[in-house]
Amino acid sequence: MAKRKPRRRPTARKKNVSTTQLAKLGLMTASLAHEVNNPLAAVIGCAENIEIMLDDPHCDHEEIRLQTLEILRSAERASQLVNSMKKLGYREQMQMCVIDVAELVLQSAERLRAQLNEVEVEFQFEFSHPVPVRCDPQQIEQIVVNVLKNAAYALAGRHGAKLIRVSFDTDSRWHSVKIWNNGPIIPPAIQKRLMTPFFTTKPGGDGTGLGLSISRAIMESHRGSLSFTSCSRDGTEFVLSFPRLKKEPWRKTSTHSLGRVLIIDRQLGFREILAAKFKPLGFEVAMAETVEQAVRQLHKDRLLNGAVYDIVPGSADSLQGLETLRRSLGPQCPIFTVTSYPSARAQPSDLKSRGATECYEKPLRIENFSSILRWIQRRDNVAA
Amino acid sequence: MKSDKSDKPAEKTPPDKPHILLVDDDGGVRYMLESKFMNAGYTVTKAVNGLHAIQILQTGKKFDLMICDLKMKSKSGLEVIQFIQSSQMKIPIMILTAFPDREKIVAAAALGVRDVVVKPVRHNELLTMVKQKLEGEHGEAKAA
Repeated sequence: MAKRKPRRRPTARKKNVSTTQLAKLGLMTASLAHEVNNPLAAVIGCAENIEIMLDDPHCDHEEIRLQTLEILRSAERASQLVNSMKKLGYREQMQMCVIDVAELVLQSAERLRAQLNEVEVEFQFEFSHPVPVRCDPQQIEQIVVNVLKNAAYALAGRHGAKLIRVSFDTDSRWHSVKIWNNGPIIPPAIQKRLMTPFFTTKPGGDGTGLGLSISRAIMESHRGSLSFTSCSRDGTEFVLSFPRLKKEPWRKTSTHSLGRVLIIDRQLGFREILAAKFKPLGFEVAMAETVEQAVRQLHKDRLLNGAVYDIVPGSADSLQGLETLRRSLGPQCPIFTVTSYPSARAQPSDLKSRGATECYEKPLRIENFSSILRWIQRRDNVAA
Repeated sequence: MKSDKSDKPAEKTPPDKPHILLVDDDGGVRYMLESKFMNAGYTVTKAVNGLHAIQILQTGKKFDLMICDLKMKSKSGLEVIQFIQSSQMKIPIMILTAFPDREKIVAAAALGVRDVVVKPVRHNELLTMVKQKLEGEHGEAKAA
């Protein structure tokens, strides 16, 4: 039987850590009490105001409505705070899978871009190879959106070019996502407190001050980290670091051509990201922006092992495009639809009846990609 | 909402009514308290943070009472109290806070401000305290 090690007394360092943690907990409790008591004060006070107003038979209904709206607004704020707190303290069941985090970041940036029109931000996306990480895509998207929104918020006050640059870095142990902006720097006094729960520089009501502390907690639960640097010479950069997988997908495995794949996506970034996964495996990749362009290309060279087509669920154009593609490729060639939109309106049965072989959501999980590979490696699928 | 559009200093009742300067960075609290005080017959001027309160005070406007939050992003309640002291203004002050931080309460007491109301506060309790403060029945000596 193995000999049990004698229990060690806690070291001074461990004791220090727990004292620091208790101090942090104390500060958090104080902040929580402050942040929740404010909306509660408004809720109780307005409810009392209504009760008093109702004593007057000629009470002003409009005033009562305004008081009620204030109750709702404040109660919602308190509820949001409690929900955010829950995320900070309680680790939700994570839905882990392997994805290309570059695809996820581009997808988040594209979704956000539509909301950021007013700020006129220029997004630069520097991508060279797939960045495979094991993560919960929804949680990581939450972080990316949070960091991008903060960057856009900082840029709103800047005169001149407003830039957000996303780039990737890999060393022997880590894959890093770097989100940089050329907005005003974060003052050193604020930098120390930036990831402290409830700390916000946004005016009252605009931020809960929990976004970055939740983001950091999520990264830590992924065994990674969230850090930042901010100085006038280099701008502000947030870095999400993920541990590298022991065996990474999408690495060069073949020097022979295994076939030809067509990628149809309106966004150049997505076409390149997808192509970068097929190419190292030994596939030739043809790319097109639209189905029309793809069909023109097919007339020149019809030899294809499969097609990946980006669709908008429920859109008549996408459904028509799918039918056109099926007609052009013939019945055997597999067509995979991918979409950035939540699945509510994407009906796989509808898509399959119009020619789709399989339907996936972006970012593609490793198992989706494996399934695509199984289909396109069947020799009898070739469109001719 | 009404709470936001009426945040500029504005007197809505005749000037002979007691005039309260209400300083709080929470829009909901400002709106709720403004309704309470106006329905109770007071004139109310609102400030959205400590800096705004100091700017209003610098205009020379006279107030019968200042009700001030402690924790605010642009100049805290303590900084407003310090400004009032250094400017030798004579304004009765009540602190209204969502979290009574012991150190800050002690610091405020050292500056002579001892009336502390903790949010959320009930209607009658608040109005009674304000009335007493304005009438000077218990004066600065009354502790919360």
